Formats: sequence, C-alpha cells, structure tokens
Amino acid sequence: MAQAAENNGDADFVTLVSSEGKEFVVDRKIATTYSKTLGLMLDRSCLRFEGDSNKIHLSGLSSRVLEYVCKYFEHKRIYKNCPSVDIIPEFDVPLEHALDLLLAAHLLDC
Amino acid sequence: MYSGNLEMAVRDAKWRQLELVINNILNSKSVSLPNWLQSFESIYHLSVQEDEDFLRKKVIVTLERFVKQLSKGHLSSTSLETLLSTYSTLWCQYRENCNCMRPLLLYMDNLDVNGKTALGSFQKLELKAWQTELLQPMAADIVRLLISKILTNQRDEIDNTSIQIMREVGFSFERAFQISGGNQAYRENFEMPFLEGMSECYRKESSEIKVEELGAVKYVEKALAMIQANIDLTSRILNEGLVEEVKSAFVQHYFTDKKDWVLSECDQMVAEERNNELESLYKFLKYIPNYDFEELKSNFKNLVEKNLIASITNLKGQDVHMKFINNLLECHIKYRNMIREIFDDDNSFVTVLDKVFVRAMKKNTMKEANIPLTSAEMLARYCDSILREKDMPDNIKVFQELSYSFKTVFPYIYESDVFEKFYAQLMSGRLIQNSVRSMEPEEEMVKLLQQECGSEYAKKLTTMLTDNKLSSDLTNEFTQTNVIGIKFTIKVSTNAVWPMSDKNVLKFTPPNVIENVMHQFEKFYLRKHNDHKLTWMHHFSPCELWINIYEKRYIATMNTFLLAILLLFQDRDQISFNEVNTFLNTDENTLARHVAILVDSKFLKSDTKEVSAASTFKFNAGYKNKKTIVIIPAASKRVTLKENSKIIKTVEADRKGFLQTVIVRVMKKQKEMCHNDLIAEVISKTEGRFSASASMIKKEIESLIEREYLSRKPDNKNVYLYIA
Repeated sequence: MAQAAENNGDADFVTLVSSEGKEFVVDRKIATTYSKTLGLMLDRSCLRFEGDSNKIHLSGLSSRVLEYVCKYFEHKRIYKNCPSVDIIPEFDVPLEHALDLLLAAHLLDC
Repeated sequence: MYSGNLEMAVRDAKWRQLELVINNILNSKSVSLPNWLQSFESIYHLSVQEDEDFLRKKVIVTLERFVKQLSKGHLSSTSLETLLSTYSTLWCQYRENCNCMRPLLLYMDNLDVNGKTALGSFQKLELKAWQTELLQPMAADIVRLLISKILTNQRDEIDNTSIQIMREVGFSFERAFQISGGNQAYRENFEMPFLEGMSECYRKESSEIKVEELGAVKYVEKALAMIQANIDLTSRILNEGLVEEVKSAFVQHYFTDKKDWVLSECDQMVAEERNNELESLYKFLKYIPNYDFEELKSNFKNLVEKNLIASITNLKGQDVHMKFINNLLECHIKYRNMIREIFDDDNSFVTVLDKVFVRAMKKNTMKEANIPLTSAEMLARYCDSILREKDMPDNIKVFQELSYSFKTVFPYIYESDVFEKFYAQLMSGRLIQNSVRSMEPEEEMVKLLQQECGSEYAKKLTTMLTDNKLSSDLTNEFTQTNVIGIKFTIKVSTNAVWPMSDKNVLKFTPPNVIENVMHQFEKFYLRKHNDHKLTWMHHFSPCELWINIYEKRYIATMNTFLLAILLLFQDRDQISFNEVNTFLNTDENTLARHVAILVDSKFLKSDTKEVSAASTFKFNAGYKNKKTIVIIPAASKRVTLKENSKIIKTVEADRKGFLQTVIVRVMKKQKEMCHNDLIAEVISKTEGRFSASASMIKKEIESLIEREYLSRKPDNKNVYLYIA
C-alpha cells in the first residue's frame, strides 16, 4: 500500500502521511466518503488553496494504525453493496492496536 | 506544574494556528493546504483534549473582534449615501467567507457532543457575531436608509443594482436575527420599524396629493398604477409576508382613506354607464379590505331596475308575451355582461341583479307596469310560440335558444306552479291540434322541465308525448285494417294526465257518418284494451268539411257538434230550432250557443236576432269569403279568458293539496311543533313554487286536524302533534 506519492492537484488519489512519514495512497472518493473528517478537509467547494491538495499529514497517527485505516476503507468498499449483513466477514483488529485505532476513528470520524 | 504549563503551551500553540487560519479566511486571504489540514488536527486536539468551552469561547471572540473591526473601520467612515451599498458589499463578503469556513465549523459541531443541544451549533456563531457587533447598533439607520431608497426607486427609475443591494440588506436582517433570536427578534428589530417607517412615509406623501385638483377618475388611475409599481418593487426585495404588509399600509393611506371622496362621483358614473371609469373604480375599491361595494351595488341596482321596468311597461298586442320575454332577455344579457366585464364577474353583483329581476316579476310590479298577464303565463306562452314556429329549419338551434331563454327567465318567475299548469295546457293544445313543429324540441324541453320542476311533473308531460305517439300508431293500424270512408285520425289521451276533464263533454247524437266510425273504432280499441273506458271529446275534435255548393270550394274546419248541425242542411234548406234538437237530442242552451256560432260565421242565417228556441235557420246561399280555408272556432274570446281563470282555480286547488302534503311531511319528521315554527317551515318549503300566506297554511292545518292527521297538544293549544 505504501507507494510513491503523486504531487499533482486534482488527482483521483490522495496520500495520507503518517506521523513517521510513511505515505499511503488511497482513492480520493473512498477516503472522503468513509471518513467524514477527510471529506471536510478535502471539500473543494469553498476554499482557495495554495499548493496541491493531495497530501494530508496526519501526525497523530502511527503507520500501523494508518495501515489499518486504509484496510478498513478497502473492506468497506468491497462489501458496500452487500444485501445482507451476515455474508460480510469480520474486520479483524489486533488488540494491541485497538485503542489507537479507536482514537483514529474518532479523529477521522469513520 | 511543568506538565501543566506544557499542556497550556501546546494548547495555545494549537489555538494560534487555528486562529490564523480563521482570520485569513475572514479577511479573504488564501490559505495554504497544509495549514488548512493542520487546523483540523488543531480542532481535534482542542475539542477533545481541553474543556468544552475553550474552543467555543475563542471562536466567538475571534468572530466578534473581526466584525467589530469592520464596523469601526469601513462603515463608520462612509457617508450615509454609500452606507447601504458598503454594508451590502461587506455582508456579501462576510457570508461568502463564512461559507468557506463551513467545514471547520462543521467539524467542530461533529466533535462537540454537548454543545449542540445547549449552546447552539458553531455554525450559528458567525451570524450571531454579525448581529450583535454590527447589525444591532446600526439597525435603525439602515432601516431608515432602506425605506428612503425604496421610495426613491418607486418615484423615479428602478435601478437594478440598487435592488440587488436592498435585497441583500433585507436578507442580512432576516438571516442574522432569525438565527440568533428567532422570528420574534427579526420582527421586532427589522419588520416592525420598517413597516412603521414605510407607513409614515405613505401617510405623508398621500396627504400631499391634491386630490380635488386631480379629480376622482384620474386619482383612481394614478393610485392603481402606484400600487402596482409598489408591489412589483417590493416583491423583488422583501419576503412575501412583508410585501403583503407594505401593501396593506399603502392601501390604508392611498385607498381606504380616500374612499369616500372617490365614491362621490359614483352615482353619476353608474347612471351614465361610463364603463371604463367604472372598471377602474371597481379595481380600486377591490383593494380596500372589508368593503363590499355598497354604494356601487345600490347604484347598479337602481340602474337595472329603471331600465328593466321601462322595457316591460305598457307592452300590448297579440304577441305581448314574445315582446315581454325578449325585452327581459335583452336587459338581462346587457347587465350580466356589464357585471362580467366591469365588476370582474363578482357574484354579489349577480345576486343584486337577480333580486331586481325577481321583484320585477312579482304580481304587483307587473300590474303597475300595465302587463296583462302574469310572468308565469308569459313564459309558458313564449315557449308555446317557439315550439309552434314552423319557419326555422334547425331543430337543435331552436331548442338551444329556447333552453337558454328558459333557464335565464325561469328562476325569476313568480309562482312557478302557475307556469307548470299553463305549459301543460298549451302543450296539450299543440299536440291535439298537430301544431307541433317537431318532436325533438318538445322532448328536450320536457327533460329540461324535469330538472327545474321535478320528475313528477315531467312524467305527466312525458305521458302526454307518449300518448301522442301511440295515437298515431293506433290511427295507422285502424285505418289500414278497417274500411271507414272518410279520412280519420284518432288521438287517445290518458285521463288525469292531460289537462282536460271528461266532465263537460257535449252530449248529443253525432251524424251517421261519424257515428259509424266511432263504433268501428271502439270495437277495434276495446279488443286491444278491454279494460279501458273511452269518452269521446267532440268539442276538441276538428272536422274538415268540404263545401262544394258555391262557385268556390270552401274547406271549413269545425268541431263535431257544429258539423252535426251543418250536415242537417244537406237535404234541406231550412230547419227550425226544435227540429234540429230532435235530430241532435241535446240540451237547449248548448245548442243555442253553437248555432249562434254558425250564424256568426255567416254559414247560417237566423230569422231572429238572438238564437232561441223559436228561431228558424236557413243555409246561407250567398256565402262569400276571400279565404278558401275557413276555421270556425268552437269558443269566443270571452271563453278563453274564462279558461284562464279556470286554470288559476285548478292551481289554487293544487296548492291546497301541496300545502297539506308539506305540512304532513314536516310534522311526521318533527312529531311536535309549535304554530309559528310550523308556519315558517312550510313557507320555506314552498318558497320557489308560490308564496304561501300564513292564513292559507292555517286553513290547511285546520283541515288536517279535522281529518285526524294532526292534533293539538292538550295543555298548549299552540303546539301540534303528529298522529301516526
């Protein structure tokens, strides 16, 4: 998931940068739909920006946690059109990261 | 201690970062993306990790500081003229910037668990700041300027940019006050002072117009134009409710206050039928609330009454009924159109028109106008004339026009039951004399009458029409299967349906020719309906006699009795009265009457001046007449008038029966009723048909008591009880 960042504006992808500097590239639409905070941050309807709007530094989140967040986005995307809840497999979260993940979820509102 | 300080330092740093971003946005400066994104983190930190009020208080202070700086800076330095436009520009900018800030504030709301319910959302803070720091202190000035700008625009040209500015100003009030203080604050701080100011200006301006110089007509036009312009303008600037209120204020000063003066010329306008001016006047008066055009209506009523009475007074002649109905219709159409075109088809005016017509049709008014017949009879005769008219080719058109005339006039007819009797009488006349031009209009008229007069009455008429048709079938069948020797048609009418009675039938011996046919037909008919009883109505039966004695052939039509008399002269020239009676075997008075008719018609000569039992009669050898076809009427004019009064008597008898039915029906429902209530109820039920007087009703009540349908209450003689 960690790939080279893209530096142009108006791309279909955004780069989420963790506190350690690791970059995660995610589809822009998925990120803004599933994380309300990211949606607000990337709201293009009212702001004049200097520079590109593709990199978001989330200094409060470690790479591990950010990785799980991206996995969660992916998980949601795959099963978003599922008719019933029973078919969806559980999203596993290892206990040691659970708390951090909880805080991340609060920050990102997702 | 140290950690406490560190925390505070972190907190302050985060706040400073956020504050910078907010201020940049408010000042329309651009923000770099990293800063923007970082502010989200700052918000997160501040809302989650500090106490709740910290962030809120800081944001409020920042907003207030900014707005205060605006008001102290830009607004205080502008002159009054440009104040409105400067304000409008600043407001628009502020709104736009706050919009850009929306994601931040929304995020704050999302994180803020408690605040939403207690202290209001973050998003409202921006408007609240605007209201308290800027708008409130300047409200009065701005309202005043707004008013004067509107009035200038109304007087002079409409300036589109001004309109935009004014709209923004109004909108700013609406948003700012409603968000922070709700509708009440908005109304108190903006709408009320605004309305008061506008109202005051209208009052002053309207009092400055020199109305007497202008004249009522011109003032009305001016006022109508002004209010239209006013509405056009205000609806582009203000919200709907406010537009209405401004309009009311305008109406109060320009319309209502001037109403009485404007109406001073009303009488003349109506009397002279100055239609254009009346149209404007009506539109003018329509704006005034709670006003129902009394003056206009009473003038209109007088106008219609005058013209209506004039058009129906002193009508005479054979066709008085045609003239009457046609004049009535003309008058009605004229004034109904007037209502439609000038008074906006206002129903209350139509009611006035109806009342005038109803009054005109009453017996007293007709008498005063020298009309010989009642309105009911007029209408019946009118229908009769039209249905006899043989010249018009188009049946449907005839019926449509008749239907229109009928539907217009019938509601005004006084005593509709008199109409019903006359119509039935005239229709039976038409059918018997074969003067019906076509069955279609007759049948359609019966359908129409069913709607207006009820199905019981219409059934009678339908039976008459059916009898007529059956009769022609009978005639065909009879003449085809029997040898008769003379041309013969028969009409069989059901008794009690047709308006003739079999009580006054002439009794005499008919001539042989006729008698043979009579017997043949009776045999034929009774074979078909052996339970029917036939009565021959000779006085209604026309006979055609071809007289070949003279140089010219004459064809004379007369009834069977007269025929019987004339045929006696086939083999002799002279007969005495008594001899005639031997042959005819009838009573002397009837015979005398009929012979007199023949003498009047010049076919017979009598040796005495008055026909009597001692007279002798001679056939007139020197009879000459310009016409070939001669009709000998069975009755003189005197008798027709007597017939009319007979109809009136039948009507009265019918009414008694009707009243009794109504009384019984009412009492059956109520079981118990006091005298006055019963009278009132019965009067209301007979209203359209005829006017029942209290004494008439009382008589019928007495009769019903005698026949034990009702009784009086033992302890209260004024109350009646229904006897089941």
